[in-house]
Amino acid sequence: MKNLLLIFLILISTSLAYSQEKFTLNGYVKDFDNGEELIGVTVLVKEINNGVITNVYGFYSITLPAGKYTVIYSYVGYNNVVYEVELDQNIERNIELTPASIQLQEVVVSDEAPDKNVSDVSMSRNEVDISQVKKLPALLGESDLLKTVQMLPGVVTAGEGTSAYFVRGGSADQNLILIDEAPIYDPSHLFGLFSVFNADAIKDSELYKGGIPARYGGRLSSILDVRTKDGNNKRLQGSGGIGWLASRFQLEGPIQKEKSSFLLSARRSYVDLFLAAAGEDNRAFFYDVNAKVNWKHQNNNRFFLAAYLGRDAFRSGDDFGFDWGNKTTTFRWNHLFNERLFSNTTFIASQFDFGLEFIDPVQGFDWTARIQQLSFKEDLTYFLTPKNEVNFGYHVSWQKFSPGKIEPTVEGSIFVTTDLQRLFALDHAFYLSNKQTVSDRLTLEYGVRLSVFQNIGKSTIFTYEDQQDNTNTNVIGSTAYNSFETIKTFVNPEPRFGAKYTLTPTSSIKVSYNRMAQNVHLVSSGTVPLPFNTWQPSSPYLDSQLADQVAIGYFRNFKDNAYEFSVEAYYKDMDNVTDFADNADIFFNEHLATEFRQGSSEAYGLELFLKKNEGKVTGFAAYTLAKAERTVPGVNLGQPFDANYDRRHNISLVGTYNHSKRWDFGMNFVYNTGRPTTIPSGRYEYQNYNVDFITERNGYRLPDFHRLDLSATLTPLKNEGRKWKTSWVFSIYNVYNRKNPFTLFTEEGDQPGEKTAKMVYLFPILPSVTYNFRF
Amino acid sequence: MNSTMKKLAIILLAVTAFSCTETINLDPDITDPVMVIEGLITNESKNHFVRISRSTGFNTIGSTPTVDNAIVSVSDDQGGTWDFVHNPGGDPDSVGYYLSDQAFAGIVGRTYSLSAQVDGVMYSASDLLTPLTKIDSLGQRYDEQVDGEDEEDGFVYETLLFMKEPQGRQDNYLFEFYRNGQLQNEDNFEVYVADDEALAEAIEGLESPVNYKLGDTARVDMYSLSRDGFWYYWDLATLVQNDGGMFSPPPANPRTNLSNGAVGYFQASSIETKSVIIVE
Repeated sequence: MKNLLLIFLILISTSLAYSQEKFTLNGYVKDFDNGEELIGVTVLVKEINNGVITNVYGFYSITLPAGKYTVIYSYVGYNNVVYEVELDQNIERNIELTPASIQLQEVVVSDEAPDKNVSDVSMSRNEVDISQVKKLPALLGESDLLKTVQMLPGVVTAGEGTSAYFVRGGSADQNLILIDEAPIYDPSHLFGLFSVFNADAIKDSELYKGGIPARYGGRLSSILDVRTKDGNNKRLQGSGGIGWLASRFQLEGPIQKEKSSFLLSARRSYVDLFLAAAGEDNRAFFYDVNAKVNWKHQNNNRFFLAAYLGRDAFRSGDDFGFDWGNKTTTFRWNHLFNERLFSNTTFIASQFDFGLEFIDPVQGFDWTARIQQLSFKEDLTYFLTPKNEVNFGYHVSWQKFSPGKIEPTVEGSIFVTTDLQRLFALDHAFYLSNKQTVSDRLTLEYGVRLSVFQNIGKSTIFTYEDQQDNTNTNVIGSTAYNSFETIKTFVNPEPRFGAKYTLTPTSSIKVSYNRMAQNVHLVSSGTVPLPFNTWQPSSPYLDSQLADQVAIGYFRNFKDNAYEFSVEAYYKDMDNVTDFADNADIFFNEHLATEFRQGSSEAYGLELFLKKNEGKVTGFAAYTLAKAERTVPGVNLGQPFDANYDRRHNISLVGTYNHSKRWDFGMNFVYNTGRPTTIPSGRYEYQNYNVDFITERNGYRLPDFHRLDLSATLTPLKNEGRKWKTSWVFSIYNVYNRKNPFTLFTEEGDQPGEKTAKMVYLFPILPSVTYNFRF
Repeated sequence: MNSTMKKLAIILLAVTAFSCTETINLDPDITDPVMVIEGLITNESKNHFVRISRSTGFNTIGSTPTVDNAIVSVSDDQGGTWDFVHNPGGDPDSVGYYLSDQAFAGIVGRTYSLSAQVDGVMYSASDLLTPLTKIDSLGQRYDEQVDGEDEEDGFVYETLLFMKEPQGRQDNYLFEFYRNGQLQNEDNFEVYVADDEALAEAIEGLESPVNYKLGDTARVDMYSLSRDGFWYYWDLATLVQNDGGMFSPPPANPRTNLSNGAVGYFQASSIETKSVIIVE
């Protein structure tokens, strides 16, 4: 650790130039129409052919020797702003960019510098353009960010109709999903048919798959950082939509013009209303609420308060009901200590919980479980010189895991109240990194994150005669720990490194290495997590999961950045990946310690990505060649097996075509090699049961998955000049009605001594219509 | 209640009203057959049985091959030994069944051990015969929640089980429900196994999962299981109800007490049985 720090300081000091007086130009870059800050705007200083990118809060700062400069602000989909500045003092300059119309896009400034695809050091990162997502075909007309994330290179799914995704050979619980910096522990609505992200409220989303910056940590495989809109601070604006499944409404506007604003967005499904109309006694619905207020009175103090609330509820007649949901609150304070020191202070509360209710005169019970987290984060960016941007900070979270409580709901129940022990953790992280422009061609980003995770009391830790014996679990002792008493501490230094070398003005190569540590473990033995899965902290019987990943890539832009191309290769080695013994009992088990089996996993692959940002046709094409293997003691006789989500070839095509002012068209196409599954090699008789005999784990492949979806968006011409603007989105999901495999199971056949295999297919061709409005 | 959780996976598939299911042809690699052993020693005085057969290919239809040349014996931890004889009655339906050469009653607290030698290979297992609480009574009542076919066919009565669950020890239960002597388990989809975690002492009116019509003889057989036995039936339930590993765990062979790669289970149990004729 000490050595790393030393190297860090040496690297920075060598690049500090001692010369004439310097001044700082800083400010926020915003959208002219609604005042939303823009993330990732390139701020290029022509004279030094170098620049910076606005951070996730839309802020930039650049320090230069006194002089005259031409500064160009550019952002995909917006017109460039060129600003001539006489820098003889520190200057605060907020910039507003106007969205580009189609006509302007076709006249491109030809001496434009390469965009960040080529010029920035970051790699293995994808942005999802939410305005494009809204024009893409959507299942039952419900635009879903995660469905587009699932099509990015390096990302695969277990099948359609799930919100789980798998990044570069990592399992579904190795993805950190953040909404306004608060973690979402289960992103699913309706068991994953849709995700918790309401497309209307989203401003920006980025997926980090590798070369992960030091300010992020906590999961092995990816970070999905979703940020919601701040709300239009110029005028009151409403929007909404009516779909087959759900309706949405959003209202945003200034509280004090250009100083403070609010956003309120809500969505609710109404499947239950149809069921009720059909005389069904079943109930199924979900809803989401996103709310945000912010004060941006001055550049040096800005405050945001954001909340998300989402819930799913089901009830089957008078038999049983279940529900689950996330609640998050984020309070954020952006502060400028001076022109060059930017601070982001965040307080976060997050909770995920589920409940299961069984309704019966003697067996009635309620089953509840939850995970809660309170976090404080201090992130600082010091814009040291135009060539050095130092990021450092401290994060701490207190986590409480309540794995389950069963309470009888009726008098004279056959059950008694049973409560599984709660578990606690304190998760600290310190990080320090520097982005350094070494020369015109070479940029480095290096740093370290020190993760210190403490499993703390109040808790009792059992000692087992044989900790791996999950049949006759024999507790031979226990140790009680008081509140906040440390049970075990896990210290993991996580080095991060990235480098970019510019080959030509429009091409570069990049390499990266990252180590990631994960100390929360999902208790799920299926391929796709359920909302009824609980989490556990690292503990005396559960080690930190670790991943080392190296990636190398070639990045190239064509036609003045209209096309971005990249090819990346990665190798990822994971240790202590959490898995479970065969036949593990993972629901309501006080002795999960006996069920965990930690193993290793290896993944590698190649990703090709072509993105078109401008013109009538925009979108991307991705091809991923991937392999993911696991080796877990006691599973598959200790031999390596293909991970559940191992898919060799993956192709996705995502595009929108702006035909005219009236019509936009959208398309998704996806092709994946079938995923592995475990099938019986034989059968035998036990009592009346006709039982499968299982040999090899994941030794069989389901058929390949492929599907085409199309959409058309109609924007009536009469919208022009009207305040009330409408549009219609017509979608066809699974256009050629492919029967795509979802899962394969066996059951007793029609005749005695017969067993048959059944394939489940999820969605046939499904048309839908959504009506959207805006005022 | 864990079985409720387990069934959720099945419900999930049904949630998507659009899904469809088709029979497909599976051609797994052929593997060598494995030995299948099923044995039951109870606290009733009788000639207890052991059944020995082999597994077969997944696509082979019909009864699996039985083994009639095994040398089988059972002993307890107090020096008792009983030889088992293949199909002493010569009944063609009982090929593969071995019966103890004399009647005996298993005793609570003793461990029973099986040894079965087939073609020179020895398979062994042992199980503890655990105590079992009494069924106090078996009641009945009209089940208002019945609908659909069962209602049309008049299967609208359920039985109610009354017993005292001993709170001071760990108990594991296996239930079998019979309608007029016929085992009912939803076409071999259900295994009614439970442990006493979260169970209160007073079990008063636990409804049967099976429905009956007027005049039926309803019977419940309750077995005590060792912890090994509980996990065997628990795993068996997980396997027969498996959804292919999407939401449920990947299918796996049940944990067994049998050695040498044999599948099945050698079980020692106390047994309680009660029956009632359904009346209005």
